[in-house]
Amino acid sequence: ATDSIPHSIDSFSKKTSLKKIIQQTLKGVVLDDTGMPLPGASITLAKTTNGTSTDFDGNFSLSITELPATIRVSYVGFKTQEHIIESLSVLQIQMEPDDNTLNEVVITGYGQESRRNITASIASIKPSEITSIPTSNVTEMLEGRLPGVQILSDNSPGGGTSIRVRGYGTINNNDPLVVVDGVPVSNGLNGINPNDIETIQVLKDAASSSIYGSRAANGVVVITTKNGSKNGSYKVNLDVYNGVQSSFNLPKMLNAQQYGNLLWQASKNDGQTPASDIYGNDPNTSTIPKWLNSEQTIPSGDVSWIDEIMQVAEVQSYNLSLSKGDEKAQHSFSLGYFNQEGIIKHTGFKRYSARFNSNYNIGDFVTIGQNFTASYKERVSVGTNSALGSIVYNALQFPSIVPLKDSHGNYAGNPLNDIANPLGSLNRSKDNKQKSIQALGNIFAELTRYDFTARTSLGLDYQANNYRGFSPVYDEILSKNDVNSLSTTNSFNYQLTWTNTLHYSKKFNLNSLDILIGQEAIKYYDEGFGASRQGFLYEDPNFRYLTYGTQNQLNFGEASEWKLNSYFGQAKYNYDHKYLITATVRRDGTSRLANNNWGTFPSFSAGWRLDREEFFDFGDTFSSFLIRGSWGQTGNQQLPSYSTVDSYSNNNAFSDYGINGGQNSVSTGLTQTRVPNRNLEWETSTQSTFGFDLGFFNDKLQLTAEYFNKMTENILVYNIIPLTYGGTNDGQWINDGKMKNKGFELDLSYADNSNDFGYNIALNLTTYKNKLTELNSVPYLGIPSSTLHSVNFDQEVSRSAVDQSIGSFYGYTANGLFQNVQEVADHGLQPNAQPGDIRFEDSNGDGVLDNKDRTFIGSPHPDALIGLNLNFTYKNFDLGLFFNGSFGNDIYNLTKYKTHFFNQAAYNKDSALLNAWTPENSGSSIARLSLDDPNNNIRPSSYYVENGSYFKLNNAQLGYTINSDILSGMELRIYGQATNLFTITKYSGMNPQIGLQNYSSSNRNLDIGVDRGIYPPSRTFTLGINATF
Amino acid sequence: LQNMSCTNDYLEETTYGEVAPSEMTKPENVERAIISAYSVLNGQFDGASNAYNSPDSNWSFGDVVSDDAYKGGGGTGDQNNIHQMEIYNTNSTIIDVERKWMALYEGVKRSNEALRLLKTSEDFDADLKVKRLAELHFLRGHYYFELKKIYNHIPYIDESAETVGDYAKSNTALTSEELWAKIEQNFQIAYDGLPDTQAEIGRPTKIAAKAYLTKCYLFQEKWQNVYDATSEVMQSSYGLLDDFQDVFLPENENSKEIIFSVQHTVNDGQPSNYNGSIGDRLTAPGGPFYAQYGFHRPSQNLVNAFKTDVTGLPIVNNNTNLTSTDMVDPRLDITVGRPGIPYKDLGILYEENWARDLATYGAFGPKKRIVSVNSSAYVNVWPYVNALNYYIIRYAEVILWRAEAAVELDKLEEARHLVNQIRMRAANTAAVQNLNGTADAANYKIATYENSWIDKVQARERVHLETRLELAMEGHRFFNLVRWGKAGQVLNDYLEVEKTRRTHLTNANFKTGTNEYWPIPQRYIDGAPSGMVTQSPGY
Repeated sequence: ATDSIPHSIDSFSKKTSLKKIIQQTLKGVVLDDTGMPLPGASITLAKTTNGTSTDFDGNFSLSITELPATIRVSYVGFKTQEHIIESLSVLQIQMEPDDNTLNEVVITGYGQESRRNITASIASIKPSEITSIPTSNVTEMLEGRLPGVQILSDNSPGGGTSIRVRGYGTINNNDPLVVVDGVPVSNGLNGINPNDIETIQVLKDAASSSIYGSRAANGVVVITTKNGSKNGSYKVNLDVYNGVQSSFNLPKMLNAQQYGNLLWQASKNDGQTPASDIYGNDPNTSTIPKWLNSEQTIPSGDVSWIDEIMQVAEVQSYNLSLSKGDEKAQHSFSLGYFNQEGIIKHTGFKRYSARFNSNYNIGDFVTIGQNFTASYKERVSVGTNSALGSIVYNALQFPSIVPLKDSHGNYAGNPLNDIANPLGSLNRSKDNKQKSIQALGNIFAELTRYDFTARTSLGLDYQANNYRGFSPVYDEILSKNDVNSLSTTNSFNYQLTWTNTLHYSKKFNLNSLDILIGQEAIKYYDEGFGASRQGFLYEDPNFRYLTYGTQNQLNFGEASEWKLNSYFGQAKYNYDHKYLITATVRRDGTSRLANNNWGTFPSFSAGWRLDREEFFDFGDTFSSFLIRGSWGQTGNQQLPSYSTVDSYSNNNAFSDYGINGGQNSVSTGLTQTRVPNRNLEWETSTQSTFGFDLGFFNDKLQLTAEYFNKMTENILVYNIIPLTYGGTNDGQWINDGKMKNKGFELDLSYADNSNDFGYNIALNLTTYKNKLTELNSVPYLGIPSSTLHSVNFDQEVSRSAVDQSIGSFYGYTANGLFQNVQEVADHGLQPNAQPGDIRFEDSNGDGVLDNKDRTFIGSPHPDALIGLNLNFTYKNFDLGLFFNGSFGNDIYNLTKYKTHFFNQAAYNKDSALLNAWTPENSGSSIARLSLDDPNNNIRPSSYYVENGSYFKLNNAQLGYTINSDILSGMELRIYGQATNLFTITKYSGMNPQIGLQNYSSSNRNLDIGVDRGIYPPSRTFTLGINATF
Repeated sequence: LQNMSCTNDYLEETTYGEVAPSEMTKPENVERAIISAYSVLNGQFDGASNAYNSPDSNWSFGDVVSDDAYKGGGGTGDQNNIHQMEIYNTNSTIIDVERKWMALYEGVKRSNEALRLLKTSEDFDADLKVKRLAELHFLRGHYYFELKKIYNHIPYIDESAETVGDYAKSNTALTSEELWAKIEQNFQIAYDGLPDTQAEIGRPTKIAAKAYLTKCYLFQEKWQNVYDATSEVMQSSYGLLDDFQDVFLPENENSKEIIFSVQHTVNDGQPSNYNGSIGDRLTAPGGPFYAQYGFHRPSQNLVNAFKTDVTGLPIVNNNTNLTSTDMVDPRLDITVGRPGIPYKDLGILYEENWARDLATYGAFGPKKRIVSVNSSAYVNVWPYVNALNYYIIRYAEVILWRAEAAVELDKLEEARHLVNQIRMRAANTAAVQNLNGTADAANYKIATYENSWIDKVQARERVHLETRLELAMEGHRFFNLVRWGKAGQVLNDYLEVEKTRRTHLTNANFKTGTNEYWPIPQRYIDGAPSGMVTQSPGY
């Protein structure tokens, strides 16, 4: 079935009548497409079990008993050939490469393998398909592209992103390990120029990832960068795009008059006589005054603030790369510049990057080389998606009646509430840049002798960061700052990785054996210091250096580190590419687990390529069939350094005291640093995968389906300790509980072309079901009270508990609105309720409505994620459409907390409230307006929970390639692209893709899908060219 | 690369800036552990910015839930948790219930830990050891006293607890009396070991321990003990300052009137001034000089209570709204920001528009414990805190406690004289002047009780009222009402009228037998072995 020659052996033999019986040896040589000998190619004699494979010089000899005979020559990555042998002359067979995707080379842990022989779960994507997506971070480009891989992003330029592979395997750290050119990365991917990437693969199951051991429990993203090729070419590539980004589907808030009207309505609902400092005292109608303050410097306005903070922003990317190579040396050099303005004003990200990769061959058997990227990044960011300090949430709450500027030309003050003028805030922080220099890469040496390859590689990820944050003096009435201040922080970190491997590869007859052993040591170190001062005489940027502050000099500095040391081995064997087996083991030592440093993580995988069996013969119709399964374990030790260490330390926020009675001095105290747990152990994930890869119609139609089942045990949990132990250390790391993820992944593609027309349709589907199945020490996990205030207005809205998915929404069950007094009376549990208030359910049926009635009210996890990629080519035109969607997930819309309830009347409200319940508008689902909220409608409940499903046209691209005939030797493609063209969703907020609250906190996985005003995704139109000389 | 070798030494962790437990019994480190037991007195026990959920001043736990104050802020939805407390819809998941408990038990734990270190330290000076042991018992006594008065049935854990598991204890293992005995025992040990004076003024004295012991007796209505103990305090060098307003000036925070206080400091190297009055940071009164948080707002009922009759005596059941022609106790305008009255030494009038969410919470603002922006003890950057100490016990209270005991022991005339000491000081206080300094800012009138007290019930009411006026907005009112056994009656009477003035109280209803105490935090119940912890009645 792997034949590419369209004659079956049977039909040939029927035509042959003349047979000579002989006992002879057929000799020959097999060469690759460049004329080099091809060792390990298999030669089989049709209709027999006789077979052999080529030796190191591509030679083979095969006994044959009759002539004419038919031999089949095959080698992975090349089209299988059949030759009819009439005589015994020495054969020279030249193979042709097969561009079938099954032959793509997949980079696996510490090695590579043909896709055809992969028995583990590895998803990969051609970077060329995605590099023109206008975003800074290659992570975001993967959205929807790979089955089993979920992308979360905060949308801001250069901002936080997370990858989730096969759901949420644990509680603390669910981020996969990212490896670039063999070097684990600790500083994220936004320093990498996407154009430098040669391959991206995601190792999803334990069989593929366990060779990375301790940090692979959440999958591994393996990236390699481009180098020159060996074939003597010299290539110059220029890739440029420019585009504009804009926001879409922004919420509509009440305008100045509407707000006044609803304030009056709310006040009347409470039986009060409406009156307001701003909107006057006429009980019948609210009046917009001419001036908002008695000094008459702030005229009344009517501003849509959420629109005002947004802008049409530019994005541009320039990349130039040169590569050159021959047998002896290969180089690649590239320069990149990427600049993305934010669609929120005064935010943005810039990156300058340079990469140099080289390989040199010394003699026949030594290769030395290096891969290095240096990048400079600059980012201006602003808080989003939190209860406090989110510019988006602030813009939603800021009164429409406040004008942009006052009569002095300053950003207008706000006499109604304590939110600062959103434009004023953005303007004040516009020069507060986070600047980083990153150096990422490795140097290596490789020695190849006989069947052995020894390699040593020293990798580095280094990043230095500088931030100067200045807060100027301002006075916006209820929000002001009387003393300016500057805070400067400097930090650096490095991760050194020293990897030594020995690789043995041998093919004998139809057997292929690969053995890898290795050792790897990793050290991470982080150090930072900072200082602040107040009282700067001038606020100009050239004064924003510490020395020029006159008061209150403060400083700080700290450091931390961790280390790993590991040994690993892997054996891969296949027989005729038909029976495939891999076994891997890694033993890891970590500095983080004092008494249990070492953990051992094995895995096995096996595959059976049925299509290579004699009995499997469906011609082109059913062209390939691989069944595979894997089992393996991976470890996790990703918890804060020193969690096992008992110690005392000083923290001037809560261990010092003014014992001598002075007002400006304290004595130093020492407090227990943490609640240590000497006996912490490795968290272990055990994962099984079963899957098959099918190809039909000569592999034009390909289908991969996988089912996985992953159980994580001994989970590293930051456990709540008895509340009598105080609050400074509110938890202790322990091993507790089990979490289960199971799911199904499907990847389906069909590619074909006829004449000038080609097309490719690819669909991927991901499902996962996450469940916490055991938790012994506490009934549930949540966000600690120290962060609850700034994140959730002190409320608990999600919980992680046994039998629930991690981060499930938690609160009262809201069951519509009371329509009349009788309904309130019938319900009987909410004596303070009035018609139009929310009916809450007595979930536990005890006849009382209290906090015990809170229950699980939704899940942020989707039932299914899909990606649909359609590509068409016609002559020189190409068109790509990429859709993706998420189904079955809920969103907790916490923006409603302030924009849907008038008990925080001073903040602007959503225009949806125009349709609030009144006796005349009793069909409404929006609770009646009330300043007093006697029913406590505002409590966390399913009123906030919405269906977060969506389907969107993520990306559309149209390109035209100009014939190289016209532009002697140059290939030029011009393209136009658009992102986020439309989204189909029922979600009432700005955008249904919410992600995490925070992309770096240790609680990040407990807080998923809560909308507190996210940085909006942008709709982007770009034009680009790609030229290759 | 040498240190990247493959031995197990390579995996040893290097900690930075952390002191090993073996170092902690050195005397200097024991002292530092003791300092950290003091450190959480102000309610700031971690890096979070919400110490207002665990305030040392009890503005929310003692005033907002009483008839003295409203929550304030930007509507009932702003710190809705405290709003729920204000309308007695408190439940065990409210963050203040949890954070206050955490702060106080952090103090217990640090005291226990320091006690254990101190006891095991061999090099520690023996005389000093006695004093420090006494101090730690004082601190632990304080933390437990607060826990007892807020939560009632609480787990009692002493320094014999070593592990985290040892801290999971039942809250009903000890009866209320047994708990009080434990708390008294802490103060008795403190009393026995403490010196008369301390070189470092933040440390408690022998008399401070006696005063706190008195407060324990008071809460148990051990009147003779109160009476006897106050004698000793009143014979000490502590006493009343001459001027009521001076008591609340930062320069007098360690004066003779202050028996024990939480030392607040600012500009001490802590970037966010978390060693200052951080629990009160939301009580900034707004206006042109202060931040606009606007919490802790005096009630109309409290303002009315300051009305006096023509003779200058308080009026019982004094709850018709104060008018500009009414005569008032001069302490009113030191305690409450009122429209038209100069605010502190700022040279301007407090105006209605200072008040945040005027429509909901009315025009009054806090004043007594607000520090002038002209003071070096005030910091005019976020989080807008100051260095004025919070007074846990001041001398005026001791006088009033003795007056209470005197009433109960039928020494009514002595009670009158004691109350008169308080009123005399108020009368001698420089009254708030108008902006020109030409006249009193309002019709101030205050006098002492000249007629003999003959009716015990009436005498008790007068002491209670004087206690309310003298200590208003200092975080004591609610606990006194509970202690007096009349919280339900007083508060429901208050609400009946006050809800006609302030609609945010519409649904407020004090449930006698439940709302006297806060519930045990749900997280403590959930985190303890099943059945170990008993929730308070009604929650």
